[in-house]
Order: sequence, then C-alpha cells, then structure tokens
Amino acid sequence: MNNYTLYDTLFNAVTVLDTKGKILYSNHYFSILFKMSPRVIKKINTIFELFNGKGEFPNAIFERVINEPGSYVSEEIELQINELDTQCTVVIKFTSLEDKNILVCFNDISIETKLHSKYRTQLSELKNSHLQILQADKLATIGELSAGISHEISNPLTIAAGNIEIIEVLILEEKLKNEDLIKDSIRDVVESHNRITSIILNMKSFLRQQTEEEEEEREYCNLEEVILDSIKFTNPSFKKHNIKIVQNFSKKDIVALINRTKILQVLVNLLSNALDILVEYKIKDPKLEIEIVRNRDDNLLEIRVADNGPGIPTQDKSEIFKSFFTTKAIGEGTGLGLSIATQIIEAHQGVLLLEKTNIGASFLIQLPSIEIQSYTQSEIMQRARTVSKNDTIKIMVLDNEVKILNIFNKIFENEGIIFLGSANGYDALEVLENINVDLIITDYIMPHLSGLEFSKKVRELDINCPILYLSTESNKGILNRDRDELGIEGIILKPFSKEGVLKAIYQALKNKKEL
Amino acid sequence: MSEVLKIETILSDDEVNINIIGQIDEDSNFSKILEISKNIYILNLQEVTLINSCGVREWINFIEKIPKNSKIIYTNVPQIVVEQMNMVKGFLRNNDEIAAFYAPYYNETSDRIVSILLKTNQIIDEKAPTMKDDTGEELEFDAIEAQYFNFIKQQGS
Repeated sequence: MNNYTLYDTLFNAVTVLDTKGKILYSNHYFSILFKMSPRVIKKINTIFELFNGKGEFPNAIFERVINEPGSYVSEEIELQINELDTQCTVVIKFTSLEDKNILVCFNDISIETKLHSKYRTQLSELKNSHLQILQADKLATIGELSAGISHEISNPLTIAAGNIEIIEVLILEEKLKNEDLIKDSIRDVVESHNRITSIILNMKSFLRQQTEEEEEEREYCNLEEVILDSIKFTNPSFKKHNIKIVQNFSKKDIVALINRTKILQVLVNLLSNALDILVEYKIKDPKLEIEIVRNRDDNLLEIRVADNGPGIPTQDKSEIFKSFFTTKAIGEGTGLGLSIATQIIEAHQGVLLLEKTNIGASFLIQLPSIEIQSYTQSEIMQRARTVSKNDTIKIMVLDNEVKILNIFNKIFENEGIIFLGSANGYDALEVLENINVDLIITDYIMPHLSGLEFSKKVRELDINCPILYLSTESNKGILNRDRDELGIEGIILKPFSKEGVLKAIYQALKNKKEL
Repeated sequence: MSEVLKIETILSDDEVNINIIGQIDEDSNFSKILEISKNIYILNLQEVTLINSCGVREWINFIEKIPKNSKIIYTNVPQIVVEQMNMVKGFLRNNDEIAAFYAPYYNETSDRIVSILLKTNQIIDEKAPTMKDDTGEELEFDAIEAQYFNFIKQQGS
C-alpha cells in the first residue's frame, strides 16, 4: 500500500508515474483538469498517451528527474483538453520520490494568462482614452482662448491691410519714389505676417497630439522660456481684459527636465483658469503673478501662479483637483483641467498644490531638481533594460546650455550609463556631496562658476573621479595646465560626436583604473 | 471580452425564476438579479457553459448580497458547476438547496458517457442511484461518489 492517497487532499492535479511514465496514481483534480473520469484514466497506460496530440510533454525534464533526483519545473505548456477544444496553460513540477517514482504536479495558470492578456489590452485602451482626454482638454482650452487669439490675429491683419492700402495708393498716384514710406509699409506687413505666423505655430504646437513615445520623453528646457511660451499663448486674452501679468523670475537660467508640451499644457491651464476668474468677478486692477524659484533646501524647482481674484471657496478646496469638478456652468468647462494638470506634474515626480493665501488663489508647482530627475530617470531606464548594477557607470555632465545636456542625454540613453545632468555648478556640487559618480564632464566656460573653478571645488571635496573638460579647440592648451594640478583627464572638443565622447570617457576610466 | 452572460428572469408572487446562460467569469455581472427582491430565487444553471475561478469569485460576491432570509434553489446544475461547488467554500449558503443536478454515467456497451439529471433526494448515503438507459442496460456512475456528492453536505436543512 502506498501513501499516494495523501494527495487526494490537494487542490492541484497530481499524478504519480513510474520511470517509464506509467500512471500509478492520479487524484480527483487530475481527473477534473483533463476532463476525464477515473474510469477513463485507468485505461490510459502512460502519461505520454495522455499528452499525445494534446500538448508537448516535457520529456527532457522527465528524463532529468529520473537521472538526477530532485525537483524540476517546466515552462508553460499549452494543453488541448479532451475533444472539447478547451485550451489550458499549465506549469508542471516533477519531483522524485523515495520509492523512485515521480510525483507530477500540474499548476493550471490559464486564468492568470488570460487575465494578463486582458489587462494588457485594457491598459492599452485606457492609455488611448487618456491621450484623447488630454487632447480634448487642449481643444477646450483653445476654444476658451479663441476670442483673445482671434483678437490678437486681427490686429496685425489690420496693420497689414492698412499698409498694403498705402502701397496701393502710392502706386495709383505714381508716387513710388517715396521709398522710405514704401519700405516702412513693407516692413510693417512682414512684421504683421510674422506675428500671425507665430501665433498660429504656437497653437499648432500646443494642439499637436504627442505619440506614445513622445508622451514619455523628457528634455532639458529653460523654464523661463516655457513659461514665456505659455504667457504668449494666453496674453491676447489677458490684454483684452486689461489683466496685468507680472513675471518674477529670480534667476534666469533655471533648467528643468520635463516634457515641454505637457508642462506648457499645465501652465496654460492655470493661466486660463485665473483669467476666467478675474473676468467673471470683474476684479478691480486684475493681476496675475508668475514666479520661478530654485528651492535649494529641498532640491526643488518651484513655479507659482497667483491671481488677486476672490480665491477658492473653502468648501471647494479639497475638490478642485478631482476629475469633472467644475464651478462653471454646464458646457463651459470640462472640469478636467486641474486633474489632468495634477497627473502631468505627478508623472514628473512633482506636486501641484493650492497654497494658503489671504488674497486670490495661488497654485504652486514643485518639480525635483534636474540632477535628481536625470539620475532617477536614468536609473529607471537602465533597470528596465535589466542592466546589472555592477555594469552601469554614473556620469555627471555640467553645462549651462540645455541643448548640450539634451545631446548627452541621447548619447548615454542606450549605453548603460546613469546620467546626472546639471546646468549650475553650485547645484552640481551639492549633489556630488551625496551621490558618488564615476566621471564628471564639465563645460569650461560657464557663467557664475567656470569649469576650472568647479573642478577645483570638486577636488576640495576630496572627490577623485576623472574629470573631462568640454570646450573648443582654442582652449585645448588648458588641459596641460590642469592635468597635473587638478587631475583633468582629457578634453572633449566641440563639436563632438557620440563615438568621440564615449572614447574619451572609457579612456579616462581606464587610466584611472590603471593608477 | 468573453461571451456575455445572459440572465433571464420570470417573476411571480413570492419567487423569481432565473435562467443563467453562458459563461460565468471575471466579466459576469449579476446586478440584474440583485435588483429583484423575493423570498425564493430559483436558479436554473442548465445553460451555463463555463465557470472559472474568477467567475466563482464574482458568484460568491453576488450570492452574499442576496438577503440571508431569502432561499436559493439550484436546479439543472451541470457537472462543471458541481465540481466548483465541491471545491469552493461559500459557493452555497447554509439554507440554500440543490434540487437537481447532472451526474455522469457511463454506458459500457456503447462506450458513451451520458449526463443524467438527478434529484438531490435520490442520493442516499452518498451513493449514486442505479440508472438504466433506454434499452434497460444498467449504467455505471462515472465519477468518485464521495467526491462528487460532497456538495450535498454543504446544504442546510
């Protein structure tokens, strides 16, 4: 008598085979899995007969468990059950028993497989719906701003029309020798045309639906430029209602790592909301203030949008960020603006807050500094590529020009390199005090703190990783001067190629290793 | 999306007859039944074609919302549902009843399995009743009795 009856209590389908594959025992759930009664199973001699035509029996694992006693698990196997055309997915575990027979346990994962596939499909549909909602929100915003935009376009159109009339009159009266007047008129027409083109291009760029890849992209941007673009967009409407926009940018060179289009959407949304409130309540001397602050203490970039309107009623404060909440009349607002804005900022690892104020409403966007953002994003990307932690190298690039940072971002994307970008030497030094890097690349000529001064301060912090300068041919001579004193390993000359950059990096790292 | 579950209801004074048709799975929606309030629910499962573990979860969630003092009577329960009833605690509530269910029998002469509708009160001491085919030949019960009739113990009086 064997102990196999213990397996009757298991919920998994279980069978015991001898080394020839003969079925010695099977439990009730084995019968249910294969949709065969015990009577039918008794007639089947071997497990191979059972699998014949139904699926691929993992022979290699069966042989292995016979020759090397232990426990082994198969890959997922598709099984055709009976004549019912029912497909199921199983994982099979083989275990050698003391009596030399083989315990075979079937784990039916059909449900998990089906749900996973369903989940992927529904997630994809959800993503598409989300993109459509974002687009709908943009269109709604354009709709709300259209009165101001068309007013803004009609002004240069009027100017252009007027100047063309002047030229027509001059032609009719044969006064074409009045060159100055003609040149002035033509210049005004061209300027009007450029202004209209700029407004239209702005709108097109705002409305363009991003692809799924673009949705995920981040680039280094000058934050002041992004805010000015958002003001450009909404300015016609503000001007129309004599609303003053005060720009308070304490520093001019604050760089953020963002999806430019999406942050623009958030800013336009906030400005548009403020505009609506100031107009609706007919505020005397209506004003909107936009501020950018580099919060060093918390390693944050902050953007504040504050108006002098009536403020948010207390009962609405906890509701305004929720989807479909709106205080506007039906048909006048989707109620999605702030909830979409929140999602966008949270996707940037930031926060969108309503601040406590005595006057009006003040919204604060907080984003992590570019050093933290670039490090986090880069690390996530490398992990997604399942690059081993030991294989990755961390490189900091310091350059005040955003386009250079974006170029390096692209260069390092597929190279297993964790990239920390920085646009300010003092911010970079703060980060280096807490994060070890394998190599630093610094621009040589920068405002506030030059590459030389920065490198000196790095060495004062006892950071001995290789440093490469980034500069032009004319500064090549500085390398000899700084090599001995500061341990500068080399210089990457602009314009540079990806191959040139990587070669310089790996050479510098190799030299360091050999020391 | 799986085959949509269809629910047909026929109301009378104190009870509702409900036909459940199709697959009971993660997409099943039983809200139509929950909108009805009766003392007796007669659930006909004749045309249930599939029930998986997600469907069982949906089923239990739904059953728990039917008032405890209402009675559910199951009828024409197919084998696939009997198997789930035997496996899953909570599938049947204490005072619910299974009036009739299908059981597999085997005809040795024709080598065919037939599904025969049995009344629960035909099962005595977990023994399958003797059944014969049209020719009078005795059929063999084609499952393990103790395991197949296990659900009967879960029924209340």
